[in-house]
Amino acid sequence: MLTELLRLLEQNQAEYNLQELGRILGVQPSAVAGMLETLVRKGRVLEVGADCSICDSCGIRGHCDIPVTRAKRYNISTN
Amino acid sequence: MSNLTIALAGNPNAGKSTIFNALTGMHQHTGNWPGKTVELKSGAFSYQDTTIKLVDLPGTYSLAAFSPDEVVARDFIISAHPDVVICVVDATNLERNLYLAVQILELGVAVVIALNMADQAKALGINIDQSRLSELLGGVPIVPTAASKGVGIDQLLATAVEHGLQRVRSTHSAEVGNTTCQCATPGAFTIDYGDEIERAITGLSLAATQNNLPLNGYCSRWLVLKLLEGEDDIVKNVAALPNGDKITVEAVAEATRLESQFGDDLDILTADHRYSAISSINRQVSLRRTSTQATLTERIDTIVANRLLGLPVFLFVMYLVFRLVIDVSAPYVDWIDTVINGPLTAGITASLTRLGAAAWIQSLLIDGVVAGVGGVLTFVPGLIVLFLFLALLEDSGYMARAAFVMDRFMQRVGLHGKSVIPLMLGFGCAVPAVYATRTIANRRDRLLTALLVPFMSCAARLPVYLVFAMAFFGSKAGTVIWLLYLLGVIVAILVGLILSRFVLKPGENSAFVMELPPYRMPTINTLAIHTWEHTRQFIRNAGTVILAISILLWFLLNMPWGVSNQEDSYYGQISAAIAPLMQPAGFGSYETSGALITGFIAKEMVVSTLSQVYTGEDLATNARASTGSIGQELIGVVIGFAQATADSFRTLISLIPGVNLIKPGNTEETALSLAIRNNFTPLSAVAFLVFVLLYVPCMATIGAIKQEFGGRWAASAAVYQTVVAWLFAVLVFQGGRLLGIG
Repeated sequence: MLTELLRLLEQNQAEYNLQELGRILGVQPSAVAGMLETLVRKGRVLEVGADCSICDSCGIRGHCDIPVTRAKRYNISTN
Repeated sequence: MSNLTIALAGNPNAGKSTIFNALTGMHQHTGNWPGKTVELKSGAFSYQDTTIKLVDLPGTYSLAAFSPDEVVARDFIISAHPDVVICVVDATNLERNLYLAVQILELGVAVVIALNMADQAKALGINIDQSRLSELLGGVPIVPTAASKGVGIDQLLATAVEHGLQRVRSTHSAEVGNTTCQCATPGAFTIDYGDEIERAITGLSLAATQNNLPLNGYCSRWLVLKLLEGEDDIVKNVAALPNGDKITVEAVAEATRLESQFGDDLDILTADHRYSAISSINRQVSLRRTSTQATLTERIDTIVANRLLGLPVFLFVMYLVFRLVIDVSAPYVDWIDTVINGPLTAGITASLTRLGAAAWIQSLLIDGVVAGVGGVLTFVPGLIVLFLFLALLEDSGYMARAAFVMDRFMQRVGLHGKSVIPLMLGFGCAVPAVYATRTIANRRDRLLTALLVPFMSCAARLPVYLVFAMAFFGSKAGTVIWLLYLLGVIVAILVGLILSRFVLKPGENSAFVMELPPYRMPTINTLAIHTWEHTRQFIRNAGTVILAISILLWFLLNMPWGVSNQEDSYYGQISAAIAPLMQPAGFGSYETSGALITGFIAKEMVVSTLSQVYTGEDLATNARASTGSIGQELIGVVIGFAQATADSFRTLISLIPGVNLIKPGNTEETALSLAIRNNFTPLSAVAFLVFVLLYVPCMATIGAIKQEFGGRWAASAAVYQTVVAWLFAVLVFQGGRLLGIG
């Protein structure tokens, strides 16, 4: 299941939301989120967007609208 | 009287704390787990003839020891030897929550599952076969609960106590230091990791037994699995035990062999087996929802996040927003303009006259400060409405879908999907948007995004659009503004494609996934905070930067001292130098050229400058002509506000198809709008707006680009954007003339 997800993301330069991936893999969207978290911890997937830790050091964080998206976003790690 | 220690584990937001509070009431104590800053809450109470210590473990999604929370949760279960662990599972997200539950079961401890939110799951059409679930999880007791309503808590406690006491009495219960495995109970839950890995587990378990490895509370199967997965702290702990190093060396060799055989890390492979097992369990116990029972979020997303419909829906939503911005704010814009040009200017003039202020001071304050700052503040209602609607879209969860749809579109046209977040932030202010490119790992993608951000029309440009659109396009003003925003996006895409093709060549693109939060009803409080925060920044800017520049501009307009013709002033001379360049775009006067120069400081300054240049003299004249008393003026202000509110409401209602409450000739014009109509044609006005939309961003944005990418790229950005703006403005004006427009 996890390797299937990883393969899907590595082989397709496409964009998905959790509902779509859930349908493809036949699992609940929240379970896909869990799998992505596991892959993030392993460094196989990068979490970017609202929760990006780089913003912690940003001087204008207080005025920043990044939470506009309020959604976690994941990319395949290129490292 | 017996004693039991019960640990409460579960995913964040699964309802663990609610159950803890329900069971312990006020008898709670908070402390830290030794060596960690993670809080552990505990509570003590009696149940029948048993004294219970309940420990609320940190909410975690797994026991993988990546975070301190997970380490504490895992170590507590292993080292503190709770008699039973209550694992709280969110029934609405069973599959995700089972990941932690199976990991706890793999530890070989006594577990009771609280199937929480069972009522919500049922309402969503999810029916869970509890007896089958229990069977598949090795006979673990399952108690359905609805903790927020207090349902099932008593039964949960009774089951946990019974199960815990059984475990205490059980002959299979482990003793610390014993080599007997806790999970040796017949029928205990295990996951089949496949022949190869299972063989390695069996071999290493045997080696551990043969070497008399003290288990120290660990379940041998679990311990061996963690050694194979290479979990650092477990490896270190085992290596420190007598004969432990032999086992760890053997485990590393086995793991290396298996990883080479399967071509992936062993912990990925084991997690894969776990997820597959859970998926299989979920399929067997969950009755699938039919499409008619899909959640509201899912139903909305089938249209809003659809691959084909998503983009048109987004464009339509943005069109509606700009239509509302114009229609709702126009009466208030008129009202503020009337107040500034009437009572405010008259009041200041009368006060200055009474104080015997010199004519030049009166001119500075009225023609400079009031015209300059007031010219910008007039359009605050438009910004308030814009910020309000953007906050509404954001807080409802729609903006996440918009980002997803745009992301998808960006990838389609060859740009990087990751650019969307900064680009969307650019609609608010380009400065944080440039900094937001830091979220993009690749420098080339970051730079390209930062160079495109200024094409997203920032909020400071809105007053410029408002004043021109209201002057020339009446009821179509909203559409014109929407088209300007759209043009900004289109130009960004075109420029992005050109830069990608010739200057910043792309690397390999990759897939991305977005987690779309569920839709929710925005709260008035949140909307008010968001709207106020953005408006406050705009007003603060008007009270500082724009005030200072307005004063400087007044001096430039009136120097050399006593100059009678603006064109001969320093402002006129500087502006006239670049005016010929703007002639092909249809706005080659020194007034507009000067406004574009000050617009580099802050985009609102375009309006402020035009206000000073075009209406400064008129303001002073109007003010002197005003004869009403202060009381009459104030009553007029209040009546004007009420009238604006009524007009705004009528306009809003008139948006309903078939309803028209708008009075003919109802809309008044601001003094600046009138002046602009006398100095522009509709065609030259559009060309001017296109130039303002696309030309060099404000100096704060250029500063941000310089800070992030260096002076060379900042200078390049300033030059290329102005060139692009000029080309588009000329194209609009000359194209329009060729087509006989304007």
